[in-house]
Amino acid sequence: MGFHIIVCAKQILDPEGPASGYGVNSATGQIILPKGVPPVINPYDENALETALRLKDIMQVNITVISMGKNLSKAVIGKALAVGADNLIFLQDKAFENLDSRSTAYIISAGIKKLGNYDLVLAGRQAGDTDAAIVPHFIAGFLDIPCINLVKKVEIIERNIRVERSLPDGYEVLEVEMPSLLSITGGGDLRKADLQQITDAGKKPVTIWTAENLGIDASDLKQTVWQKIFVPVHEVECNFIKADSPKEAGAKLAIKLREDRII
Amino acid sequence: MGAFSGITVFDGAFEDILAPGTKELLACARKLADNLDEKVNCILFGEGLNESLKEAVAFGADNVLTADTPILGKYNPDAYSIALERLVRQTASRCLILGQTSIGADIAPRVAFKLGCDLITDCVEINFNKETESFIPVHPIYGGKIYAAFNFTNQQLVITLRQKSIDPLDRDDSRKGNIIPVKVDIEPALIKIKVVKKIKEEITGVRLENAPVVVTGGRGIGSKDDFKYLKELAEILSGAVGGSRPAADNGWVPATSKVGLTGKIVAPKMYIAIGVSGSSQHLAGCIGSKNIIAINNDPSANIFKVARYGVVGDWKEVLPSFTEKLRELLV
Ligand SMILES: Cc1cc2nc3c(=O)[nH]c(=O)nc-3n(C[C@H](O)[C@H](O)[C@H](O)COP(=O)(O)OP(=O)(O)OC[C@H]3O[C@@H](n4cnc5c(N)ncnc54)[C@H](O)[C@@H]3O)c2cc1C
Repeated sequence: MGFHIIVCAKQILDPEGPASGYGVNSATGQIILPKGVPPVINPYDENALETALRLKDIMQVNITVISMGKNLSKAVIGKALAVGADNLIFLQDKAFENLDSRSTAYIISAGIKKLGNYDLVLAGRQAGDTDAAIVPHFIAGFLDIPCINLVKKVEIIERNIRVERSLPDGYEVLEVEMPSLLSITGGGDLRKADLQQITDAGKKPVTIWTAENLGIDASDLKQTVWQKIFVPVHEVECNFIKADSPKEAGAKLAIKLREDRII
Repeated sequence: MGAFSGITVFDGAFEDILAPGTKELLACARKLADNLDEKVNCILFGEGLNESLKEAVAFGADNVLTADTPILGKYNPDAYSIALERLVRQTASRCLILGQTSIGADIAPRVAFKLGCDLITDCVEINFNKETESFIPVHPIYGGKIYAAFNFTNQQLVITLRQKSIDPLDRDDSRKGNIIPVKVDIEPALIKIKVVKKIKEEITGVRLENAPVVVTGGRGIGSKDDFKYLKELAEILSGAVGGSRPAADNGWVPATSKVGLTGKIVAPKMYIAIGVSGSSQHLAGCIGSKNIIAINNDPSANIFKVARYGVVGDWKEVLPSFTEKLRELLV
């Protein structure tokens, strides 16, 4: 009998995209998102999935990836199946848009409860769009299971989970029993799928659960409400050092810093 | 606001030291409390606390609550969150502020969940509207490309504040405050997470977070070996070496030397970014620096938008002459 690991994966706009396309619509006060930036699996969720896959490499593990949102793309999240996840579940409903952390965690925990038995829940340390790092803790709260954040390494010894948690001056080793939730930082880049795996994954079904399937009343959900959003201004005038060669530019930079009493 | 009153800050004070971040929290809370004409409570956990309690008063607290219990001597997420939740309920604080640190970011969601109240993490500002008596925390989203301001009126709230977002108050030993020991009993059965051991990374030289000069290398450095040139420069300037996320992920610098949104927040006098593109997530960790200096071979790199001084060129050619000239100038 193996372990059942659930990995929470959010679909977001590629957070590595340039800042230039982001803005605020002055008439509506709403956010303007850049065009042409593709949706991806949140990078830290990819780390969580890779963590699960590395456990699966060495022991019997069944991986379910669960994703919540309004317009989820199988082309994006389906990558999880290609690299080795066994099941994919979309918690998808028009009511599941722009929700606050508590409602988001409530829905995901409802999905996990519906799945029933599980041994470990993994999530990325934070999503690269909301950057809040709240949902993992709140999912654990709703499931009433222990939660450890900032985990960079996971080991399973019988029903004990032993993890390394990053600290600003090193790391600490923690132990907890199954079932628990871990939010992952690092743990390796997600492996690549080959063509055959991608083709096979395309044939695997995705289970879709709506608010109704989950027994969730949309009027219990709360949206994120901003008073105001704005683009921060950090820009300064750059003194570009002009010189005939890069070598000369290096020396001139030092001289300029001395002249301006920076050093 | 009815039943709730006062601003409470929480932190650990290990080895009886009040961390710089705790002083920032106190300054932030003081400002908010003065606006409301209410008190600042400071909750400190640790073992054998004495000096740090007095310091908390000198840096702005009216009441310092301390639970000097062995079980709270070292950080344990379960013990800390249970104890903190109880104290926040006891004090009926309207706002609890923690640092966006490895402890604060871990405890804040646990406590907010238990209290059933709203939580805004990683804020760079907490404003207050006197007319409406509302809190307006500002939280960067999309890696810092957009800032979002929230508005909370008449409700209990938990906030975490990004490090170095506000200057501490000047120490004032004439400030009066109460030091209140409190008793917290935690049933051992409630502790599910066991802290086995802590491994501290050896650091030589200046600590990154306090260094007056930081020399940071990015993906453009290309290898661990080449970081020796950055170390050399840092040594001349009595600074520390940092890395962008790719540099840390590749093991070119220790994970603890990553600068940025998910790494360290630094604000040195001089931040020298070499082979760093200047992503919003990276800038989140260094934008408070006084002078950003960039060396990058791409003239359109974002880092030049925030740099006061810039050299466009291959760092392998620029850096040696820069270091050499500095050495000459600094003797
Ligand atoms: C949720 C989230 C959190 C993140 N947190 C952080 C964080 O804390 N810190 C962080 O740094 N990143 C973080 N990132 C990653 C971030 O988005 C960027 O990917 C990263 O900062 C890029 O690092 P870089 O500038 O070193 O690499 P790149 O963006 O690849 O830039 C390399 C630069 O080097 C230049 N270069 C190359 N060769 C040379 C040469 N020979 N001479 C001179 N210049 C050269 C190039 O022109 C380029 O500008 C985070 C991302 C997410 C999604």
